[in-house]
Amino acid sequence: MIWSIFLKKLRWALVVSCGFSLFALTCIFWCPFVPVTWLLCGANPQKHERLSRRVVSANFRFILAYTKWSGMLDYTIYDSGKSRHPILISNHISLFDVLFLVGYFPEYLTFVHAKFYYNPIIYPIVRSAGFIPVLPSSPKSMQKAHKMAQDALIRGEKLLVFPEGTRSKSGQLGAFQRGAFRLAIEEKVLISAAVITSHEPLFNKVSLYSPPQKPVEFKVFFEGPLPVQSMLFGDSAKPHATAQPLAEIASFRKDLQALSRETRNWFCSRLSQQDIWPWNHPSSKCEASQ
Amino acid sequence: MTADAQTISRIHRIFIDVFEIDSALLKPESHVFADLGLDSLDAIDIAISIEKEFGIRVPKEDVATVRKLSDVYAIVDKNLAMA
Repeated sequence: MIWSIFLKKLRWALVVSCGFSLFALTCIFWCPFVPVTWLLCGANPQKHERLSRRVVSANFRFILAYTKWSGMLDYTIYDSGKSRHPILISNHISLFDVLFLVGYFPEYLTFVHAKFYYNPIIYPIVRSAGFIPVLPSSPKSMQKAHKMAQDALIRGEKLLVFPEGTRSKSGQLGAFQRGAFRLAIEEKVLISAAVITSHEPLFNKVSLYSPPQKPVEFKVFFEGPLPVQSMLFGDSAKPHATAQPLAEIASFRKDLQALSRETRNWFCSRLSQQDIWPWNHPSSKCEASQ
Repeated sequence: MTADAQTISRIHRIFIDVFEIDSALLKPESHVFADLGLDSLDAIDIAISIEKEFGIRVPKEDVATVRKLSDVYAIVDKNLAMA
């Protein structure tokens, strides 16, 4: 009995460490090619970033295929084929969410925790892919990341944002931060949504290394445009672009709060629908925002 | 250097009108993020609102240092003195 538990844990540790190693090896092997691809892209930073993102995306899909083969998880991507708008937001239940979304939606830029951005192994590929570094505990870093994201949208890039800011601890949908919605209102761009579910926790905030009893089944639904975006094209966008009275900043903030609240409520409602969630999972008890 | 009562009152008015914060929460020691429920990007709106209300420039570096409401008083006071 103890022996079988030990073997199971050992196998799990090997599978997980191989998965991480696959990513690290790609990062290391990619380094010498960075100058070559830079020249191949005609020293065009945007082209180079997109090519690098394709490499990261292919690597993530390979890791997903490996984890599926190893029996760690099973997953299905439901892509409705609807327009992919400049901002894609998703709930965040597992470390694998990043692999699903970056792997299958490579046109989206995303944010990377500063500790990974400055990691000597990951740094070259993450930087060449144009991912945006952010240190959530630092207001200065958050403001800088917001500006970089804004510039990226102006350049015509697309952004992937997890509005909860971090992985869920309980599986329940957390509070939404307002950065993505601020960007949408300021730059007047539409938001698409992706909804991710799994039948049991895997690589969430609290069960990082617990081996599951059987392959964890994930479902990723690309939902297309959010049906709650009427305030995006109001007059309150860009409160600081021109000299406007305080009332207009207050109006902008009301729109921001409304968009954030309505979006979270939409996620709550969607997560409770049967096609998304056939299991008894805490996310179905998501409490709507007031 | 400390902000006078009138300046503090105008700052509080911004927090009440623009950020819809309960006036009872507005104390010098109140933490702007933890106690008032604002986030780091809201600090940008604080800076813009101060600029509009007082007609001064608020440097980005100053905004990044805001933690408590007393920091906001100090920023306004410093920039009013420099204006």
